[in-house]
Amino acid sequence: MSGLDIDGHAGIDSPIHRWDPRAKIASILILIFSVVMVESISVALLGLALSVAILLASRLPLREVARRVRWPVIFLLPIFFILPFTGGGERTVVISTVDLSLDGIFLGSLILTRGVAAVILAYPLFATSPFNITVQAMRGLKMPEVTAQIFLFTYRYLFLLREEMISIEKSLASKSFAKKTDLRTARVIGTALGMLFVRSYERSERIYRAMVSRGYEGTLPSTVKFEMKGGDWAKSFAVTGAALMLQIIDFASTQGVII
Amino acid sequence: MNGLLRGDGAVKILGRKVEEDNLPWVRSRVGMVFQDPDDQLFMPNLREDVAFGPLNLGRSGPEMEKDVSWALEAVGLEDLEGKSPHRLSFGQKKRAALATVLSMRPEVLVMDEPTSNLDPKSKRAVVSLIRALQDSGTTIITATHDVNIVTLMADEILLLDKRVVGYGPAREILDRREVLDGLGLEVPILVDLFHSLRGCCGHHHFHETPITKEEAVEGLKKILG
Repeated sequence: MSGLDIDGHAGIDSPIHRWDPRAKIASILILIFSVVMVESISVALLGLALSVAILLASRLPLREVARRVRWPVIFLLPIFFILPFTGGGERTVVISTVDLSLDGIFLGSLILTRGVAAVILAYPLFATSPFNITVQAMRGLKMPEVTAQIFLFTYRYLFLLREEMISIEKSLASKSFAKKTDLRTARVIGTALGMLFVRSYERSERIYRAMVSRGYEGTLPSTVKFEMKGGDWAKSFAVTGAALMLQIIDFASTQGVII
Repeated sequence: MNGLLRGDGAVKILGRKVEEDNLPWVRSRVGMVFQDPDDQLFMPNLREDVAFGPLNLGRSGPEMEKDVSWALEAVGLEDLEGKSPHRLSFGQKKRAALATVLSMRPEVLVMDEPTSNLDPKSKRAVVSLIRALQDSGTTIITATHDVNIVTLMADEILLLDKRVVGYGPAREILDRREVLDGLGLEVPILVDLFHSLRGCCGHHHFHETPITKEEAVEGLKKILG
């Protein structure tokens, strides 16, 4: 399975997969916002535990999620390592000859925990329904038509774009082209990308013609019907309730009521 | 032919001139199948793609479902209706592209190279589908370089080389070897064979060059006595 295939595991049966996609998107988004807004590290850890619980409930293969979560986490790590040196504040920890800011360590861990929790939640959010259903659900949540179409077409043609790039690369390789760090390589890659751009542009015109000749007038018709059942409401209340709880506990802990 | 490209002159569809005002009408009658199926399949899954046209024509409910299922069955892809286009093979995509237009039940079907890049089995499937559509009364206009499929389905041929080079019944055009050669086209294999037979053996058993297998068998029977 390729890295682009976000909905490859949409066919699994789990409570998250069975959840009405509109309610799922709205509730998990609320939880994500709640998690990234908490100020206290212990509440953030609670948020992380919640995200992991939801991920486990979704029965998505953990190995694969871990493989994908890796990249955003790599971007968060520098913050975690830099802040202890630049965080300032009066409280410091001295390790051999280096002064580490305690505030920096806390802030770095907070940002890392919140980030990882949010990234983990993106998987139950997007990988548990076929992508078109996710987009239809977003439409149901009043996302503008144009945005929905951009999402759908991006998803549809991303694969083709990658195939075309791979075939260009193969063609370069079969003409004995080897990537080096020199001007010629930059020029060749630049030309190849330009080629890809021109091809995509021409393709977009052909697609538009194909759409118009089948009666397209600006909106994509949809036959998908959603229906909220009792279980959907229960899951939504549970997740939004958890989001609210995080905020309440966070407010209380920053006011010094707890901890 | 359905108002996508503008030029000089006029195009008439089912007796009516194609104009700005009647484009929706024209597009509901004339189905276009493009050469590259990836241009044609833009929806996230096959069934939605096949339903795109009928929904735009204002059809809905069981009527639309019926058209969609019929089109998918006609091209033999009913089992793959939930797949997204990037998971289909090229031959499947090509047939899927045809289904997306068939579901609109067009009276005129325009196809650009419907058999290009297809394996022999898929090619046969497409040709027999086209013939079945012809039998059910659909007008089919096909642009192709594959002269051997032409003998299987064409009534009339229009030879183009920037302008019209020849126009007439299939049999007549396919017999004009020098014109086909001049355009860089192949001569259909049967026509080629019988031209050679005529040349070498001086057989005059047949006035017309056979273009179908059945005619060729008859012709050979005559030659063999």
